Amino acid sequence: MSNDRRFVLKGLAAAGLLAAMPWAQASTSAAAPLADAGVADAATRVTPLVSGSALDAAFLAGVRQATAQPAGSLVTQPLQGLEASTYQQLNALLNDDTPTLLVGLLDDAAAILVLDLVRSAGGRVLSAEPHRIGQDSIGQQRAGALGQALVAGAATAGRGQENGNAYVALRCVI
Amino acid sequence: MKSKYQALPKGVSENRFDAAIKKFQAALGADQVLTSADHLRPYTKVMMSVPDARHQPSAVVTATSVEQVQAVVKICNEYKIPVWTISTGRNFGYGSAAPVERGQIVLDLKKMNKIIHIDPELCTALVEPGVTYQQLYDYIEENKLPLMLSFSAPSAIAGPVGNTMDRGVGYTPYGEHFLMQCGMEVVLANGDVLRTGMGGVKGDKAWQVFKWGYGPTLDGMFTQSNYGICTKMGFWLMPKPPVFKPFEIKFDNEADINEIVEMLRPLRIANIIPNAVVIAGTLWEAATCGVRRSDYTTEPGATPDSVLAQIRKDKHLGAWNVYCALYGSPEQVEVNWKIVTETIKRAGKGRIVTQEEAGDTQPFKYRAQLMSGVPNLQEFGLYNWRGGGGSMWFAPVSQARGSECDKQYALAKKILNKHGLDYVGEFIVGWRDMHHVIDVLYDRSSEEETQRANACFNELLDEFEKEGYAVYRVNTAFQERVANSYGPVKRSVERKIKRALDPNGILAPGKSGINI
Repeated sequence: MSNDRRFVLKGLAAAGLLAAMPWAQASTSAAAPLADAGVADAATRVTPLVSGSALDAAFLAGVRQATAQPAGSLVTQPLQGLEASTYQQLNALLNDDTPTLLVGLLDDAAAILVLDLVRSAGGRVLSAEPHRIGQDSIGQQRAGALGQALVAGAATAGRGQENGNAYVALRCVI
Repeated sequence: MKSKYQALPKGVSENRFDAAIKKFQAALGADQVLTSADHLRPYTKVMMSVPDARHQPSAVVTATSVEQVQAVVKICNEYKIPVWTISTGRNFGYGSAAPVERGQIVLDLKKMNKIIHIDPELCTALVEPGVTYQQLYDYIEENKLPLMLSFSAPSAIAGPVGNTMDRGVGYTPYGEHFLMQCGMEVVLANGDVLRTGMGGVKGDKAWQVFKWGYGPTLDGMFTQSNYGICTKMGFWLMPKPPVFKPFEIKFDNEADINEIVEMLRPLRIANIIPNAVVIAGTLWEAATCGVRRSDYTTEPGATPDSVLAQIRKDKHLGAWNVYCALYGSPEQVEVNWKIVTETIKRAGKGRIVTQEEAGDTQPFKYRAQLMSGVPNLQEFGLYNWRGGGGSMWFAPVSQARGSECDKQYALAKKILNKHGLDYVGEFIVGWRDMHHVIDVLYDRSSEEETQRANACFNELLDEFEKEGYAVYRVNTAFQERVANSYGPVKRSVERKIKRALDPNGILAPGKSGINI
C-alpha cells in the first residue's frame, strides 16, 4: 500500500467520517458499467462513501444496482468510532494497489475532506456536484438514481429540491 | 481557439507552454506534471464567492527535493511561468489549493514530507512542507516523546509549514505559530537557497534554537508573501506538561462579551491562563457539534434570534462559550485554578464546566483535544451549518479589550444579517490582541446567495476599515483589496523587494497583493 493511499485512509479516519460511514465495497466484473473514458482502464473496484444521512441506504442500493452485483456480494462494513481498530479495519480493506472508483453522496464537511485527501493521494476527481435533496420519497429516489449514475459515469448535475439538505455527489479514481 | 490546457498562464502562448511542460517533465518526471481536467479539478475547488474559473491552474507539478524546486523556478524564469506553491493546500476558508490568479501553475510540495529532526531535549523540530500535523503527532506518539503540538483546527490534514507561513494560530500556549518558528530554508526566485537565522553558518548547531542570527532577521518577510519557497522550517515544541486541565465557561447573554474579555485579559497576559483563549459564539458551537440550520428552519435569510435561543436551550450552549486550559505541575495547576475560579466567582456570571463534567460531549471534547495537541477534524462541521460549500473566513484583529469585541461583534452581526447570512464566529485571545474569526458560510451552489456573500464580504472589509480594523489574513479572492488597507507605503516597499528578489515575477504574483 502506498504512503499516499495510507494518508487518505488515515485522514478519513481522523476526520470522523468513518465513524458514521458504512463502507461498502464491490468488485466490478467486466460487464459492470464502468466503460467511460479513463475509468474502465483504471478502476476495477467500486467503493461507495456516505456520511451517515437518511439517504445512505437508497444511495447504496443505487450503487449496488449499477455494479450489477448480487445483493450479497456487496460487502458493507459499518466502521465504529475513531479508535485504532477502525483504522486497521479500513486499512485492511484497501491494503492493496487495486485502483478504486470512489463514488459518494456526502455532506459538505465530508465531501471537502474526501476531495482534499483524493488530491493528496494523486487521485482524479471525475466529478463533484452540489445537490439539494429532501428526506422524502422523492429524495430517496434521487439518491438511488445518483448512486447508479455515479457508477455509470452519467451526468449528475442539478440542484434538485430547493428545501432539501445539501449534499455533494462525487466520483473519483484513486 | 480552444486550448488543450484548462488554462494558460497570462501572456504565455500554448506553444510556449507546451515547451515549458516538456521541460518540467524532463526535470521532474512525467508523472509529476499534471494537466488533465480530472487531476486539476481538486486543485481548482474553491469556497470563495467568485467563479472557479478565476482560480483555474494551468498545470500542477510536484517536487520531491530542493533540487527539483530549484529546477522548477529555473524553468519558470525561462518561460515566464507564474508558480503558486502549496505545502498541503489546506487553507480552506482562507483560500484552498487554487492559485491566486488563473493560469498559474501549482507547485505542490506534498511529497516533500520528511520529518527531518525532532530534538526531545531542546524541544525543536525541523520539517519539510508536506508534513502534516497528524504525521507529526503519530511520530511523537510512536516514539513516546514528551512533546506537545500546537495546530489550527483542520489539524490532522494541515501542516506546520503552511500554517506558519500563513501566520496561522493554534490553541495551546505555543499557539502563536510564527512566534515559535525558528529557522527556514527558502528557495529564492533565482534558485539560490537561503537559510535564515543561524542556518547559513557552516557547522552550526543552533539553527533551531536561536531565531535571530546576525544582521537583519529575514524570516518574517517570507510569510504571507511571494519572495521565496520555503522548503524546510524549524519550530519549537512545547514539553508535554504533567497536568493538563481544560475547562469551559458558559455565558448566557450576547452582551456579556465585554465583561468576558475584561475578566480574562489579565489572566492571559500574566500567563495564569497560558493558552490562546477561545470565546465561541452559539452557532460556531452548534455547527461543530453537528447541528444543521435545516434542523431548525428552512426559511431563507439570517437565522432568527429565537432559533438561536432554542438551539442554546436544546444543546446546552452559551451565547458565548469560553475555552481555556491550565498546564503544568499539579501544584502550579492547583494555584492557577484557584485564581481562575475566584476571578469568575467575583464576576458573578459564567458557569464553569470541567472535563470531568463534560465527559466526551462535543464541542468540549474537540476543544480539549485542540488545546492539548491531539489532532481532529471536528470543526469541519461548520460546513454543514448551511451547506453548499461556501466559506470565507473574515478575520479582523483588535486589541484584547471588551469594548473592541463588543463593537466588532455588533458590526459584524448587523452586516451579515443584512445580507441574509449568520454570525458564526469566535474570538481567539492572544496575549494582547484578539483574532476575531468569522466564518462567512453560504450556499455556493446558489448563484444568488453567492452574490450576496460576495457583497457581504466586501461590506465587512469596508465597514471594519472605516472603524480602523483590518484582517490579518484573507482568502485569495480578496488579497489585493486587503493589501490596500495597509497603506501605499507598505505596498510600495513590498513591490520594491519583489522586483529585487524576483525580477520576472514568477513566484505567486498577486499573493497578498504583491506584484512586480
